[in-house]
Amino acid sequence: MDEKRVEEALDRLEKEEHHILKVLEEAKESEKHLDEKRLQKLKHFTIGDFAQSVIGATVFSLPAILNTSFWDYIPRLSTPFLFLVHAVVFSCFFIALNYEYRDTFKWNMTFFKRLAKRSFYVYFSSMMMIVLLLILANKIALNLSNVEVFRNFLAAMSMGLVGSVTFSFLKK
Amino acid sequence: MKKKHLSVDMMNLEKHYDKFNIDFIRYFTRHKFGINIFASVAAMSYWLSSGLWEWSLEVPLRSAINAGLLGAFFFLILFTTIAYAAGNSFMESLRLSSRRCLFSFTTMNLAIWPILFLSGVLTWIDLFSWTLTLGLWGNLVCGYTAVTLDIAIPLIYKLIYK
Repeated sequence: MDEKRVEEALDRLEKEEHHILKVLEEAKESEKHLDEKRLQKLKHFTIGDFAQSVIGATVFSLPAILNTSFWDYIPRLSTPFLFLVHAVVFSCFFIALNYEYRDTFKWNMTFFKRLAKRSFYVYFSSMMMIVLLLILANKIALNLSNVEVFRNFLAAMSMGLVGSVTFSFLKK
Repeated sequence: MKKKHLSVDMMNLEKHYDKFNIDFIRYFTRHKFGINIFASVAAMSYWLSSGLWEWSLEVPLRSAINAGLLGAFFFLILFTTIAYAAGNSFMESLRLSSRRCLFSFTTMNLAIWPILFLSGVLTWIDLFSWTLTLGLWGNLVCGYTAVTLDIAIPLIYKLIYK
């Protein structure tokens, strides 16, 4: 009688363990599928991705471009400092883009090549919009010098880059 | 019609079937990058050192802009037509050709701007209008030579050696 109860308890435990393992396998499969889906999105730059970059860059940079006190502050900063800020923002943009498509930052040559291509597309898309806005705000004009145009571009583009990766919720 | 040429995208791990080989549009390889840079440097050096420089400054800006737009549209339409004839849909052909043109344009400008600044023709204190004029002429000179060469050289190589 006791042996029968022990056997029934063991059977029940075995079934529960089997059920837990099955749930775990299904969760792993769904996560594997999710990574592939995210990687597929990395491979192709669609109209939705373009729109997201442009809208994000516009929303973040437009208030600064239209704000006169922002342009009063920029002349106080040196050109190498503006370039450094732009480089730091670009590296943060690259890291943020990496984490949009996977959960690690491990070295993987194929992934980084695809990510570099995607970064180029997003940067170029944002740049088109930022340049247009700067022309409209007369911050890129024919009568300005190269250094003034370059400084205005660096300042606006730094903010545009932040916006272009922040607005990824638009695609979801 | 049955598609004949199998093109394998080693970066995205995808296969594409085309009626004929359009890999020169699909992929912008290291060889094309190298040819583009070399041809752009050669074209810029010739333009800056020859009588072509003086002639280009006398040409009205509007004519130069029209020539540039014509060249850009010509290459875009040429690549789109070839990709379309290879059996791709219109949107896919336009996507392939515009991507190819974008990569060529970026590569050319990677050569043009450093040469303009290093040669002393352009400085940071010059007016932006002068920069645009030089940039336009640089792109015209390099576009008609470098893009033509980066299509022609691999094709000639294939014809001779395969």
